[in-house]
Amino acid sequence: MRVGSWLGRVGRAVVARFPTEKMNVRDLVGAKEVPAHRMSWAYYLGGLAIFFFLIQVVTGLMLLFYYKPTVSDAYLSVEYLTDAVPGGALIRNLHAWASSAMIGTVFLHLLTTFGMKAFIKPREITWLSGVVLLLVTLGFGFTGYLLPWNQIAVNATKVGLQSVEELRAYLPAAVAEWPRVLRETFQGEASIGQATLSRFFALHVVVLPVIVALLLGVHLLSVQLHGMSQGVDKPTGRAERFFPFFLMKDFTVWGIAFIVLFVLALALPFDAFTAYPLLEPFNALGATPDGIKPEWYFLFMYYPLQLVPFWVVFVVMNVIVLALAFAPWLFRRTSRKMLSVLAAVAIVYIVGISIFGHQIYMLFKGHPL
Amino acid sequence: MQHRGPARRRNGPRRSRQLVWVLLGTTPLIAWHLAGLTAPAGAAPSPDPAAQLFVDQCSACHTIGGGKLVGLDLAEVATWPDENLRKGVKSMEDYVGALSDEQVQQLVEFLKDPKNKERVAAAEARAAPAAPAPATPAPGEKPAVKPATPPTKKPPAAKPPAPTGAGGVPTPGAPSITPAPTAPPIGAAPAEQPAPVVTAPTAPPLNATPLPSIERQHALPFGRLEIAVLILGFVVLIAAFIIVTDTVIGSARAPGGVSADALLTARRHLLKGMFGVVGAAILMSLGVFDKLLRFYQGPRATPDEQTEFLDRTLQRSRLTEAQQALELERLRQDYIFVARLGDLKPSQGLYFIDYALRPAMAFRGADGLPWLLSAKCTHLGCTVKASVNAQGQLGCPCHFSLFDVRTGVPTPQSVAKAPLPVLGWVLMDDQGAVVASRTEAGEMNGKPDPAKLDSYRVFIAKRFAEDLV
Repeated sequence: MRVGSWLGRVGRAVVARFPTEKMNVRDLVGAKEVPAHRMSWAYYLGGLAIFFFLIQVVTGLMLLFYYKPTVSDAYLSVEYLTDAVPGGALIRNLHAWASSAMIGTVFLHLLTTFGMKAFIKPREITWLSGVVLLLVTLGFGFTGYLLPWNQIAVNATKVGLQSVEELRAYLPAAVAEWPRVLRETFQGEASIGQATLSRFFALHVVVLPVIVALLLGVHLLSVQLHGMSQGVDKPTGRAERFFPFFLMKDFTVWGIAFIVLFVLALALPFDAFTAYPLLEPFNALGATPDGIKPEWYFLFMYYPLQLVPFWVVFVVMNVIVLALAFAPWLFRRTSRKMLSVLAAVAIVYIVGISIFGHQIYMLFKGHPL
Repeated sequence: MQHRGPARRRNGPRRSRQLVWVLLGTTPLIAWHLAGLTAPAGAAPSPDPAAQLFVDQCSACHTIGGGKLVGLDLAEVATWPDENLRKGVKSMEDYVGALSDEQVQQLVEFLKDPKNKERVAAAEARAAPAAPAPATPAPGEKPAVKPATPPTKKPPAAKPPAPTGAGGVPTPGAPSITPAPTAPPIGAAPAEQPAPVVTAPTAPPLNATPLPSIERQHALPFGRLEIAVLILGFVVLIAAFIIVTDTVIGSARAPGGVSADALLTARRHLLKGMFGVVGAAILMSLGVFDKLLRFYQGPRATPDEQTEFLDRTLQRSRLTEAQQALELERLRQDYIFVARLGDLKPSQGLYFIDYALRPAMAFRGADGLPWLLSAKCTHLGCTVKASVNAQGQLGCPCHFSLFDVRTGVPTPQSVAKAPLPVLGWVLMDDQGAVVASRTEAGEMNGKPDPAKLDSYRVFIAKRFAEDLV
């Protein structure tokens, strides 16, 4: 009975978040306003993330024309695309740079939204779908990293998946094998091989995009229904019409982002930041080259894993994800100032450890990783 | 908009200026970091290219008068006839990538030069200031192998001055393919290496003909200066953008609503903007369409390019095929041949591939019987070196873990914590009859004849492997 009434309450709350009477062009587009204040720039980030996602969809489709997801052909097909196909290197490079840009934007979008306390009633669903979208985006990064099938791709994926097994030490004997079974199920076989490549490929180009499309629909609809959150404690009272003014400025930002991205993709191969032996085709029987590292957007988890016991990182990461998921209720009474400080700390931590992680590691451990 | 605040215009431009300062302030930091990631674009040409070439390409496996490493001590080749020496140098292309005729000639002359040792020392001294001091391992943690192994010479964070690639293209950021940076890739062991790879006789001749290197170097066309300029350019762009949007925010609605005048101006701007955007979009789509079409069409390769590409595809397929044959053999066969017991040595392991397709090494134990250890480092899976140091330890080239060869247990200072697994083995005589076996737990079955030990053949057995999993 009690469960029933609770479910009823949740159901009514969800329905209330999608008011049908507002589902018309006038309310969805015409009436939307963007508050003008010192944090207004943060309102560009969501649109920017969508823009990068669109670039990923287009360039990803183009890569599909040439990529072959098999252990023997993956590396060669990527090399062929890069070296022989007209414009292939640019398309691949755009895909690589835009993935980083998208993940960076999504991180920043989440943190600014958090700091502006935009998650409270009635925007819980917007926030929750956003948190899941962040995780899915990281999933894109993880699955896409494996596809070129070079040394760093396969070995970093191996190390990443293997870290799940460190849980084993903290589990009772009856379930101690579960992490291994979980890992092997996820990667499709005992060690990373063709089955893993096929699975990651399917996840990367079909499953995750479909999930993103669905979640993004919910996310955007809620944004349009409830409008932008006020974002600051003392609203200036000034606002800007979303359509057409803010939308045009959105497009301006997209244009600038595209120019920057295009120049980067044209001039700097994303691979150029990786030493050559790591970009050789994966050799299952050979030795592992030096310097295996995940992509930069996982460094914030990678370095702690090397520095502190596994369970600490595991617990902290889970607490963070749960806290994010329940933020609309956990931080209902927290002031915006406090939330901004938390978000700023997170940004400083992520930037600091991503750029200086190696130096920090050397400081504590005294020998290279 | 319940709390409509006082209609005061905030001080936009000043705040933007603050932001710009923050951006400008962080730029050198980021540029510095990026500069650390990439070596200077045009490294000054070495005054002694031959010695430099030797240091970059050969010294990981060879010394001159310093004794034998993975490859020969090259002091002895000075007496070879020129033609043989040239062939010998040329044959190293499988390990170091293409060598031009000029480079081969340089190396031949260099190897014949009685003063070549001094030239190497000079070249190394020149390289030293560019690369920070090698990470010195803790006293008890000395790598087992002579520090000619690249990991100590080339810490990943700092790269040596960019070697010049085969085509004379500077290759900053991409250190030359040093032969066997960690351990030699299984299946491509050089002929003169003391520990040839052993696979069962039924296996394809994986180790007989080393597959030629089919990879190319990817060069980074930018040095640190260009990167810094690029970043500065972005910052200026972003700064300009912030200032512009900040002033445009003036079009935001005043508390009392929008004045008709402002709305008209805004509409006019919007129309003009739309017009520009449409024009640009048409122009751009023409260009984009052209590129898209070419991308879709694919390359029209010349016969030469086609030949080269097909050749590389075939080589990759052969590699995959060889791996799959190895896997199939391990699925089918109950025993995999490792070596004759007489060929095993106590201090130098012989690499082979175990049932789980991991590298492993075979030694001769103190009791005269085989002693098989997994070679997959329990830290991150690198292949452990097979040569035993003076302390009776095996070293992992990646993170300097040291393992006791008699037990497989790592030293306390090592990053690897779990011991290298011990593998079981089976001894057979020439007729293929099982003489003795030992499980990985050390449980012994059968009694080998001490007089015939050397003639026995060592196998790994599937039944032990299944116990292991």
